[in-house]
Amino acid sequence: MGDIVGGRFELIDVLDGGGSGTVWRAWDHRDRTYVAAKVLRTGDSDSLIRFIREAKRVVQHPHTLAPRNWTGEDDRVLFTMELVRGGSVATLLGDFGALPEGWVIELAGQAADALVAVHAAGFAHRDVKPSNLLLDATGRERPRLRLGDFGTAAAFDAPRLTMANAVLGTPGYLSPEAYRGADPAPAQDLFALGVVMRQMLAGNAPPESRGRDGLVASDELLTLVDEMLADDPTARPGSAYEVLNRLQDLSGAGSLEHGADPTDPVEVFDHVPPLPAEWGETGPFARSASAHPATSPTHNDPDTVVLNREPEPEPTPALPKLVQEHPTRSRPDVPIAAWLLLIAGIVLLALAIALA
Amino acid sequence: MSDNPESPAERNRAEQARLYGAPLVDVVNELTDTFGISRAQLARVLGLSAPMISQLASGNRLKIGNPSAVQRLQRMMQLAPEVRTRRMDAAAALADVESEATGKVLTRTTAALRHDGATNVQDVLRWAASADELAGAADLLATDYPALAEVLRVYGNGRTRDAVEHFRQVSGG
Repeated sequence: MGDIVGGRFELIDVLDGGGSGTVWRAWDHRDRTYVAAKVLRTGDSDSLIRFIREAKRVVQHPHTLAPRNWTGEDDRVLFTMELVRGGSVATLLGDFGALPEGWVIELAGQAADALVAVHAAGFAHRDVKPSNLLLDATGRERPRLRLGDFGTAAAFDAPRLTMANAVLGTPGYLSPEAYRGADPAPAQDLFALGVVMRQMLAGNAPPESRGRDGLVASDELLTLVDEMLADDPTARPGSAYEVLNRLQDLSGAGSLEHGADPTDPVEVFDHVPPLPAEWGETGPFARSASAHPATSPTHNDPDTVVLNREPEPEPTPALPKLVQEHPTRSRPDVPIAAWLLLIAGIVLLALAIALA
Repeated sequence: MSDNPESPAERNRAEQARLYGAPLVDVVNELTDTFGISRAQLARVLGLSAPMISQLASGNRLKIGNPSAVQRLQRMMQLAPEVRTRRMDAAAALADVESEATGKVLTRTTAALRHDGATNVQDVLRWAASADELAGAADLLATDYPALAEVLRVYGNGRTRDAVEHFRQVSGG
């Protein structure tokens, strides 16, 4: 039997090892359901915890995928959320290349709808990109997009100090002003969404691509994308709400078939692999009742978004080795000590030459 | 049922033979065999999802929609005889295919671009000398040590934006 985190979540297998952390499939022994679980180091989790606390409406929005629970253990925090099965817009672009205009309008509209809620809650998402736009496995039906990964979300009123000297986000999706270190603002998310919309129309173009060459779409949609990609944030649409309205006013809105090839329909597959042998739709197959943790005490209130901050009363087993390994894999940190040494050397050299 | 010649899957396989030279189930099996990789690995190299590969191989889907995946598939089919006859190493051939993989940019991971490095360099220089002194030192060095002079100018009295950009280029971030 696998390790159980927080007296409740049993980690089963790794669904996604990339991005900003390992995502596991886990069994929730209390609610008896499968969830996705993500492990972050305590230091990386503070902003996400603030976000979950303050933006409950966003957490419950139909087009977001934010953690519903978090549980701290040692120096790590486990976040759990609904298990979304359809991959992401990045997967969709890999499978299909450029998407029909009707799909682009639909997906962009759902993302804009999510951003309306995020911005209304006082946050900027700051990492809108194809791999963070997750999808339910809806097959050839109308898709359902979920804006995910709120790990870099920042409150508009967050103290400037905590963000000094660090630009977060993904190259190619960063607005010019965000790249220069501007305070978080809705216009930066609209720029990133504009990049995604252009990519959905272009297929596999790098996010830095600009211009209309090779894009098959109506003039109105291309104009909207151009405006969202304006270097000057004040030249972009005024809000996510405005983007949503303009998308809904387009002639292709509401019709997925618009611009589609009927012989090659877009399809959102189920990307979650089959359960391991010892697991079934209703959870783990028979095992000894004494090991079942469902009766362990909990402070959670089942009717609210649960913020399980207090330590569990019983000692819980350590996370599996794999979980512990990932967060310690260090990011390529800037070798500051090496730079300081180099600069000291340069200064000495300069002085020596100047004095000579 | 899929053996019924009238079934959509069978029709798709025939059409695939016209488009790709063989039904994709044969192409996929041959490539995984030749390169010694799983279907999931083949999907990753092509930039397709695992479910998409199975849908294509089963004939449930006809076409590979993503043109760059088609390009990579064609490149693999070109290299397959080289690998089979051992004129080329499978790993080297895969690296060749992946080097053309433009789809990679879609899955690039979130990076934290830090201004720390550039501003630390600025702090040290400005601690050691005034802006005028740094400009003077840069002038002295310019002829014989132009790169050093550039560093003194960019971090000594240039704009932070330029320093950050310089640092990004130098550190490969």
